[in-house]
Amino acid sequence: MNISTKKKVTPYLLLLPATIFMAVVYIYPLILTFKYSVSEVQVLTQEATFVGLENFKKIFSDSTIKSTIFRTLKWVAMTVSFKMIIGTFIAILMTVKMKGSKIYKFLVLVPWAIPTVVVSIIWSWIFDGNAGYLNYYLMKFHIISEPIHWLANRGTSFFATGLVDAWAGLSLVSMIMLSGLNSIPESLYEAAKVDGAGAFKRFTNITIPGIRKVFLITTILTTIWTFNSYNIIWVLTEGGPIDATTTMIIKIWKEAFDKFDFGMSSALSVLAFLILTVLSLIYWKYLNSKGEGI
Amino acid sequence: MKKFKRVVSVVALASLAASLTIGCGDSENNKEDSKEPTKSEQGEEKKEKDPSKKSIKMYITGYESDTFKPLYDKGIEKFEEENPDIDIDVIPAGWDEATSKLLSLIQANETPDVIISGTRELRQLSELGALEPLDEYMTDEFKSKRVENVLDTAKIDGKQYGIPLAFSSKALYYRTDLVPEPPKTWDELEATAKKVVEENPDVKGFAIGTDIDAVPDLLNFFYQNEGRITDEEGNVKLNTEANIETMDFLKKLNDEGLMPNPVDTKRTNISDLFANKKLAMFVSGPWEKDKIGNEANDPDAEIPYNVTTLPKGKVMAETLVTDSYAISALSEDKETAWKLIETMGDFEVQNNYNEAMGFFPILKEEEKEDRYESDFLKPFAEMIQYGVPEPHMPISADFQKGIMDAVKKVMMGEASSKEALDKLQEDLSK
Repeated sequence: MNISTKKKVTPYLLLLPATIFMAVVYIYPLILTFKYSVSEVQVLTQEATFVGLENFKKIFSDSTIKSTIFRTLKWVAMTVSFKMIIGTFIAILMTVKMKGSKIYKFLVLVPWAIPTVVVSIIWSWIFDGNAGYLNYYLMKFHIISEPIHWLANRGTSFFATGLVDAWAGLSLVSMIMLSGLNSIPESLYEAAKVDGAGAFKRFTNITIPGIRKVFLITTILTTIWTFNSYNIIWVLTEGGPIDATTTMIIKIWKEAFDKFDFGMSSALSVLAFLILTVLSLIYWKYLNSKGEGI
Repeated sequence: MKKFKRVVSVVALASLAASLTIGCGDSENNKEDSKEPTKSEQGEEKKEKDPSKKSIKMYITGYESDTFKPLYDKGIEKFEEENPDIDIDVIPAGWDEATSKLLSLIQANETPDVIISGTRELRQLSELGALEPLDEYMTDEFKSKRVENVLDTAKIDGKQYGIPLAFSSKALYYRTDLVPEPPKTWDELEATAKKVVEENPDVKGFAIGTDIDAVPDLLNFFYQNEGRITDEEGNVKLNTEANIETMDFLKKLNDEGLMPNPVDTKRTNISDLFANKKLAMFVSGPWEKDKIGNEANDPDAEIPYNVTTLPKGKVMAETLVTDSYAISALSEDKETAWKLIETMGDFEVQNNYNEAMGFFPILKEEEKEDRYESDFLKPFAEMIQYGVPEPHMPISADFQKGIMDAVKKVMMGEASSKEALDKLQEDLSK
């Protein structure tokens, strides 16, 4: 092997272990999911009988699945909005030099340090309609007169699960946004000050354009993660009451392990895969674009 | 080459996105916090494995509970002492994941040999071909030692698929300081609950849960109103006049503010409300005594309470709940699995289990035990004669979730009792 061929081949050899790992861990389950999505699967033997697009036809003719998809989009939009708006605000506060800022930064990381199942259990105590902390304090300060059953009502449970998911994800969003904010050269602010720009003008003309790209990338990544959120919803409501917080991921689980319909569950997974692939491609495009910011 | 790299990158990225979906995980926080138990939770770290020993896997639903674990362990230890060449590997599972985890294990070629689960799950598992019929294993001597009608609760279409290990009965717990005379009928239950709430605004009169564990308690009401959930051929038949009336009655109790919101109440939390003086009456089994913290019928106790038979609707009735041992059809050592079931059903082990939990006799010999003559257990024992066995549904999980969703819809005012039961009937008939 001459040096030039060696140079060409070596990187691929180095990549080989990772590629094999990816193939086993990611590609194989992916192929299996695609196969099952066009099959009727025997629960015990996993024998798959080809049924064509039957499972997909069921998805598009079943009104509960359509409403699940719509509900998922609403839940993701709400939760991502919470995460991005509050996370960016926290990041901006972290750039302010003030006393105790280190403690503040530490506290921001706390939600990230707690396992999501633990987070969910703690929040389920807070939201408990019969003996929860939230009702206790709201009633103590005479904000409400009757306890609210946060997780037993369609609207409040939808909001509560989104809020908890946002709380658990805030640390990461604020840290990424902080890195975006720190990448804006200080000299730009100094020059703007010299030119007489006020705080608001500096924010709208330097900060916002400076973090635009990182904000978009974080939004896309957060959307993918939020779409896949499972633990928090499951522990808090198991997708209920009735189906009020059943998102696509919860539905996929229920089809597979409540109804043992692996064909339908896989077809829904394929649908989720397509949605996430589109988002991933948008993310990819932004990541490689030569724009402003980091 | 550049194009190739791009294709590889896109495939890798897409795979990553897919893995997030397939795994149903939340990688945002990069934590391993799946609901699947860890090895230590599975009890696999507790003892060193001896490779020279034969191993039998025992799937125990509810094993991790502090109350149940030592009781099962006692039987397992006895078996291991008698059979030093065999190790028992316990695979614990929660009640809400009993069937799904079992099927996941079977798919992963980790089939347990012995399975402990609710008897109501047996039909679904047997229809999937997951269970071994046990008729050939049972000798006449084995059968003669067991209470016949309890043993029959684990028969599906004439075949014995399970051996009951737990048999429970329910009674009405009531606070003697708030309810001087316990209700004997549904009307009295409503009137008593109303009186309690009027006199004690911080206390609710009665409670029902709407989680899967609470299904037998809901069925009690159906049966008391002469309702059934299957027809004579065993097909689902829920939307009957009797069942609609039952749901209307429960809705009325809720609308009158006599119960804590059932949609927000789990069966296991009901006794907590009672123990915290927030509830005057509830239905459950003898095991709640430990949670309440003092004996019944003690007027000076912190929680003065007593137990009585369930209030009568049109008739007296309750659901007879049993849990059973079963053997996996895929077990490679069914003979040893059966031997384990025999040891666990030994008088010493079985009686200790039933005594600790307040369960009723599985073995005829247990019927002679003095404890069944105690005032506390009498109402529970009295209810057994009115018992209706739990239904064997084709997809038990679907039925249980469906019926509880129907109750939730009614309680939340999203559907009338008839609409909710009609919809459930339609869904379950598909």
